[in-house]
Amino acid sequence: MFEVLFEQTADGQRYIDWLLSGLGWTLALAFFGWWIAFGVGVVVGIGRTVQNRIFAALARLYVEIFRNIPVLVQMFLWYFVLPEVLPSSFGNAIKQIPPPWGSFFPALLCLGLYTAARIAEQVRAGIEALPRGQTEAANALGLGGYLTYRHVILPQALRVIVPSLTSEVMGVYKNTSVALTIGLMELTAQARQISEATFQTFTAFGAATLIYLALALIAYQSMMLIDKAVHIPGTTPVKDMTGQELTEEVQQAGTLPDAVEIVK
Amino acid sequence: MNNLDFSIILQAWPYLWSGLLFSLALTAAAFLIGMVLGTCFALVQHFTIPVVSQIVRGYIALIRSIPLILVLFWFFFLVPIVLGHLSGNGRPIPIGATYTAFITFGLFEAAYYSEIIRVGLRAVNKGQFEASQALALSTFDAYRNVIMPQVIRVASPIILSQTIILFQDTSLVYVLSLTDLVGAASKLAQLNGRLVEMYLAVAAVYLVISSAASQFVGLLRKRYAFTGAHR
Amino acid sequence: MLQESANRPAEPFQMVVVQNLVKRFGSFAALSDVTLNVAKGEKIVLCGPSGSGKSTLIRCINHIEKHDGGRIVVDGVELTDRMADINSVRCEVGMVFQNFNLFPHLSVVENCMLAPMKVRGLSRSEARDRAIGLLRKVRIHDQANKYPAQLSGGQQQRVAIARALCMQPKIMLFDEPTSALDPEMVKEVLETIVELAQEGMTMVCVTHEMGFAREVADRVVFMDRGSIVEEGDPNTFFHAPRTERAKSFLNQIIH
Repeated sequence: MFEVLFEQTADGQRYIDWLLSGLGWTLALAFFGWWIAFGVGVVVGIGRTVQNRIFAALARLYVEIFRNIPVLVQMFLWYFVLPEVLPSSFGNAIKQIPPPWGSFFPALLCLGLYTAARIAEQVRAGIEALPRGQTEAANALGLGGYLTYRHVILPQALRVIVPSLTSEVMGVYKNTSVALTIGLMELTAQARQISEATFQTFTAFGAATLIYLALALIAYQSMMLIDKAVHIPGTTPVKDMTGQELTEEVQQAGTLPDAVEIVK
Repeated sequence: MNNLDFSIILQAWPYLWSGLLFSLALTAAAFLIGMVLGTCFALVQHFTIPVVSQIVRGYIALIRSIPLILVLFWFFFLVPIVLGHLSGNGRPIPIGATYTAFITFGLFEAAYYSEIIRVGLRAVNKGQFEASQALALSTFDAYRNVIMPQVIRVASPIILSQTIILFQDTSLVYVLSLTDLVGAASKLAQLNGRLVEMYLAVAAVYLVISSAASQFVGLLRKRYAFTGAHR
Repeated sequence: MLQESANRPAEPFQMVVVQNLVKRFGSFAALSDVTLNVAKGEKIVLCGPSGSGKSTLIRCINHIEKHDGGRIVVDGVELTDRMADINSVRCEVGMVFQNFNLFPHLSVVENCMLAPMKVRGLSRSEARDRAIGLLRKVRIHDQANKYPAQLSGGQQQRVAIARALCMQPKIMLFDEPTSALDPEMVKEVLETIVELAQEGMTMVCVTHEMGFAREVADRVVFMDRGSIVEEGDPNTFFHAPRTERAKSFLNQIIH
């Protein structure tokens, strides 16, 4: 069934090369996007929990904006709108960037900042889930705000949210496909291209599907490994990750902030 | 900075409004189809009906692992073919992009709603079912009158949150050239050249609707604060 | 007059001075006009029915609760909103909580090393030596590399005491240290606190353990509904309480 992938294309390559090129873009976007998202997300998540009213409000604003606008619209804003609203020298410089980088960087920023908003909510939930006594004990020992977050709060909060971060990891590589709307030839775009060139729709999309499934499996297993690695000795291990997060969600339907949501 | 003319939004509004209506219609259709199917999927798994529950689980795992855009491409390709087979004559029936989109999103959301409902089922106390049995209620009546209402009550905030995400996801019909809110703005932008205003307007509409809906869900959560540990 | 003042012993230094303290939670007055002094080396036991404000009082002493009125001066430093003051006070005041509040992601010895390293600036090896020494003192050094979840309640509380002692505080506050423990573990923790008292540590202890209070306290302070109702030395308090409220409280506890 997949033989067609090894045929020659019009430009001298094989279709499978198209697919691999698309995969490369998908992975690059997902990888770097994740690290931007994680870095910004943890900072914003902490910002949501601090005493300082201004930081808390800014963090809240960030999350509201980046979570309530669809990824597609955000892509368009970064790609089409940003060059227009910047001062013309910057705007023109951005428009000069040749494809595919001209599509890659807006997509990267979009994906990173969008996912960051979701991660921020998970970090917030993790921090708020910790008993108040932890902060009190740290304060009683003389540990100030920064030290308390760094050595007591964050290490625990981040461990707690590893299972729910799995959906965000899966979400990142799935959302890379939205970049095709601004011209990035990532995996799904290439699959569509192949389907149009060879009329072998099943094969083309089937191959892409299998690759995405493989990515999902890798992501899931990696997160389980991480969860095991950071496991605190003496506590009960987490068995089924995605099942657990949903159970917690539903059981705490009245109390948990709308942080742990299911990601497409 | 170019001159921004936001009055263009007023002129464009009727067309944008029709796009928004399409988005909302798609959301509603997907919600209905998704909830009905999702409930079936959840119950099938809950009762561990052999073979069918395996297929359902496989379907759900597959749908949740691949991007929505790819799912859209798949279903747009497959739905006419499947309908053709179902109708018996074997030739693909094109039912138009709109209805295909409704079915596609419904089938897609079903995978997500199903998981929410399934966990909701697990969360309802087993004693509820035992009490129903003791009252000689049939399984069907027990589920219909006792179990499912509780499931819906407990799970409704999350179902609503999911629906808000669904509303945002409908924007992806853009890749199929359907005229939802984003599609309408995009077409207008090509005509009037006012990309910035059009897309900012779209962003604002989504922001307002999603944000308001989320606030509402937040209120619901507080009012129906159910089981679950209060920290 | 001069001769009298020459014979009078020097005024002991007041580690903690609490004057007219007020603390409100919303409209509820947890503490109304509380005045209390704790001299260096003195051991105070705070007792009273629930809601009397005893926990709130000691939590105000190291600013875990922020007071709304009155003054608190600890080791010569007045507690204001300034972080510098608060942190310097907290370095000298050790606190042991009812729920231990050990850091679950750190081992026992790491729990004890964290604050000395980050706040007092000790090196890792210095902090470790001090930690092991204090863990040895509370007789738990063989569990040094275990994690809190692997220890019993009594063991965790002793680690909590060692952790607080690692900062070499001048005064220790105990907030119902044995209330969350199973009965068979209460003894080991109380013994540890008694030893500490015998070594001369200034302490304020909120507790229901009256036997312990009789053994350790220099002064018993009885609180009810946000104010100090009666205080005095243990013998007087337990055998001949003066006020009605103290009498009824003791009747309930001792039976």
